[in-house]
Amino acid sequence: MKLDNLEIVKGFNRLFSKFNYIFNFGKLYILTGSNGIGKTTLLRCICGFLRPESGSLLWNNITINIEYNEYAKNIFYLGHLDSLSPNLSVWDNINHLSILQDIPNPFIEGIDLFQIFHLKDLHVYQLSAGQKRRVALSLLNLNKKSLWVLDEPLSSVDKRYEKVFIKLINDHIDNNGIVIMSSHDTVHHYKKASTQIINLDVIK
Amino acid sequence: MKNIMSSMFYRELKVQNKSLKDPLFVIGVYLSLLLVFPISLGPSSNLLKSFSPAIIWTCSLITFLTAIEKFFIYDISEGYLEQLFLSSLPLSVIVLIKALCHWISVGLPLIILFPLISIFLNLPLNLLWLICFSLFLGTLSFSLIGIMGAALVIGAKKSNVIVILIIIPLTIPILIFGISSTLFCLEGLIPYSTLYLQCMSLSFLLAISPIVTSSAIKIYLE
Amino acid sequence: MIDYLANPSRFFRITNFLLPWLMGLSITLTIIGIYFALFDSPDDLVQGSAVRIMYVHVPSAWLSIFSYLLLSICSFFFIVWRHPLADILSRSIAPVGALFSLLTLLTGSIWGRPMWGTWWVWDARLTSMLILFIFFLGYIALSNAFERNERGSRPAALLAIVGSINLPIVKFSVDWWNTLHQPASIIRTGGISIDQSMLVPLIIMTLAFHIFFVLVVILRSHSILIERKFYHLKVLGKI
Repeated sequence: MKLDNLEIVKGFNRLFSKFNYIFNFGKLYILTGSNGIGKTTLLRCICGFLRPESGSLLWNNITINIEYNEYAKNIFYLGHLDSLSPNLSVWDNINHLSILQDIPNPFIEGIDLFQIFHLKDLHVYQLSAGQKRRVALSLLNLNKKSLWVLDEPLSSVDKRYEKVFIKLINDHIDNNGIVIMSSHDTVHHYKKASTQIINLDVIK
Repeated sequence: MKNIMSSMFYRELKVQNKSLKDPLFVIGVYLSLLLVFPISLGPSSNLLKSFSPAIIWTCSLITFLTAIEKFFIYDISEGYLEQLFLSSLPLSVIVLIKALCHWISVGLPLIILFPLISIFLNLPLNLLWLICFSLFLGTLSFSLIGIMGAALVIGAKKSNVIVILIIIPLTIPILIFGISSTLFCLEGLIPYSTLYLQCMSLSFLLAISPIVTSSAIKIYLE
Repeated sequence: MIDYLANPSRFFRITNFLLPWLMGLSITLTIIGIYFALFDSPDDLVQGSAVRIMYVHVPSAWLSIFSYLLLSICSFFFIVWRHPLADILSRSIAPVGALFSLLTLLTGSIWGRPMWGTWWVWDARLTSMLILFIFFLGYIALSNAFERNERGSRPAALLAIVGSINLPIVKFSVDWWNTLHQPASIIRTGGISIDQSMLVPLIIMTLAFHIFFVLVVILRSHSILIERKFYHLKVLGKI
């Protein structure tokens, strides 16, 4: 995955100009930087929600706009919001989202990594913010997509689930996947050798 | 692909109707709007009968306007549109599914209710099914127009006021053709010409509404 | 030509050069047109002196249709090529177009008073003009409905394009509705053969109105451009 001369403008804010970066398979990239520096915008741009003003994003040396559908098949995106529908049960939500993301069969054991099995028949509006986040994160365990784009994945999640999350990320990297995530605090428990921290404050 | 579509369909129906009470609320809105007309026009049944096409269609239009928020109600606040965008289903198909589900949860109750309404308004019963058919064409067009308006105002301030301002002018042809075919039905004629015109406007909307709505969603996601 | 004009500073230079000419031309043409319309054109056989309001009514009706056409063309350019200048132009056209369609409605109703005996008749033309006015209002409301002003540009442009596809259908359906409900008992305005002595002032007034329209649109787009620049500098902290 390669960002080539990327220039992203939001309103009057020229967030990035002539931004080049190469993301390699089997690595974890953590975006850090102060508020409003453009972490979320960069992540959304990588997913293709937002077209850069100039420059291009290349996936396996092909610009993503050319074969966007092929490219989108490789992405698992989790934003600030959990994308769960409040008046569906947890299990219905997981089922629907996994069908939407072409994940073959969501198996019940697979979602229990974040200990949400006992919640599976509750409606999502009955859950707390942390529980919702755990439901959204449990989809990570199910999907086989190679590029994970996560925006502040650990917000409002308890410390004890962090370890589970870190293990998931490390496994994914070992399986030759890419993880790009934004985070306020740099967590030190990921595999050091394959982790790269991108500090957007410094880059600009 | 088929799998995704049926799952979408199921999810949309569930999300747009929190429970079975929701279609009942739609019917309640319709009946309460209907109540306004005898109160304001007087109880004379002849007068009501001659105004009945206008009453039927005005009430359906307003009922649809009140139900516009159903389209993207949780999709925006929960960040679900991003997942739709990334899925392998084209956005325009998703839009069509959404509009169809909206019609099922708002339009279908009205049509099922219609025989009851026709009793309230003293309508002749012989061409009732034709009026129902023209209502079907018209309400489906309302759903297709509504989803365009709802998508255009995602994220706007006072969106529920603006959406009315931009939707009403678009519904004028639908109203005119629908009211005319109801009028012909009441006179005992089979309204071929106006039903053709209604079909024409419906197919026109089927063509443009998915395009416009999906580009509006893309604009929102930027 | 469009690419050439699309640079804001060049746009400023060219339009600043044009402005005084346009201003002079529109004032002169308006004076000549009003003179012809009020003093040098004959009374209508049926309508008497009341026909003179036509010299305001008809040009403004033409102009409001023309401005919607222009609005949708600019919106199309903006949606496809995303050039900010197209957005600025359509934002400047919309309120002017709305005002002229309002003027059409007002003069139409003043004209209708002696002719039809009422201020308002749900005549097909007046009704479609009212719908056009609502279209303009919808565009203006949608384009200004967002926290960040530019965010509204593309939805509004999309709306303008949908409207331009839809307006012919609306026009057709309204005409059809009108013939259905009111068999031709209403005096149709214009459209009948117009005498040449009436046609000349009409053309002059139409020209004057259109030039005035271009003038106002240029002025408005200048002020929007300046406003945006000011805001830009403010965001960057230079002011």
